[in-house]
Amino acid sequence: MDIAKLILRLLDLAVVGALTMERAQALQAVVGPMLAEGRDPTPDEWAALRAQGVDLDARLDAANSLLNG
Amino acid sequence: MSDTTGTEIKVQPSSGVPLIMNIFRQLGIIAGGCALIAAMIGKRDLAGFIALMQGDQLAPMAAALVFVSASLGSLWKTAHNEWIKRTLADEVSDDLARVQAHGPAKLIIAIIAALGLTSCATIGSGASPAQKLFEARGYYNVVKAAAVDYAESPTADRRVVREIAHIRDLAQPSVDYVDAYVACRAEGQETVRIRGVVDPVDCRTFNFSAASISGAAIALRTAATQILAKTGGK
Repeated sequence: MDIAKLILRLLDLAVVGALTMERAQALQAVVGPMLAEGRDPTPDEWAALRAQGVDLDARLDAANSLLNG
Repeated sequence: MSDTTGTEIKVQPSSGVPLIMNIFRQLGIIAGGCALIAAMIGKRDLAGFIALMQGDQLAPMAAALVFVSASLGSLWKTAHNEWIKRTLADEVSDDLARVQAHGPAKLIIAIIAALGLTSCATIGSGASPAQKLFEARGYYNVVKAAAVDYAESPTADRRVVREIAHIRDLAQPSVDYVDAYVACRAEGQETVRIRGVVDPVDCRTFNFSAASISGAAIALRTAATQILAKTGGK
């Protein structure tokens, strides 16, 4: 692997890392007040979480079949 | 893999690192680990960092320190091998460089993992079963989003993507369990639709005891950690 490829991979990971931290903070912004108020998640909050998961599964399957299909 | 190991032994004999470099490396790991974790938690002064270490976050912070230290060691080894490769051995295989390049990747992923673990506020706390499941499911989504970003990036390794998809498949029963909990408990339905199952499943077939719910939350966090480890390379 030449140095350009290595730098490209590091940049990829830095972007993924920054996005992941943002998403973790977004999750905490929902869960934190929920814990503080002592209330359970609403049906809408559950539905949003579920929809997010279905979308991610579809994208992972697409990427996987593109690379390994 | 045996080729790579063989090459590595040839290129970097264990006695080849001077003692002073070893000491320097250890000091660097410790200082770097502390600085990274301190920066991570937004406490850039030493006093604040020590106060936090003495608080109830000691265990996750210690785990994070170990993660980061190991990764920094790996990073140093990468740089060192790169230097040897460039100055001493011209005929080192690309395989070695490819394997070593995972060092920096692991560092970044370890920081994300440490952040994720320390942000899981419901672990061992008095959170309700629904709150525990919600956060575990949310954390699993956050990690899966990172894995999808990686899988869609131009430098994605096809074997790694396949393994991530496999871990996801193994974790699916836990995700289905959360769906069942939402339908049966939060929404009060009598049956639930599970992906891949044609007929609705009777809620009475699921065990919603506290132990069972904790087990599902732990299974989701474990799957998330495994996916993170894969995303960072082997």
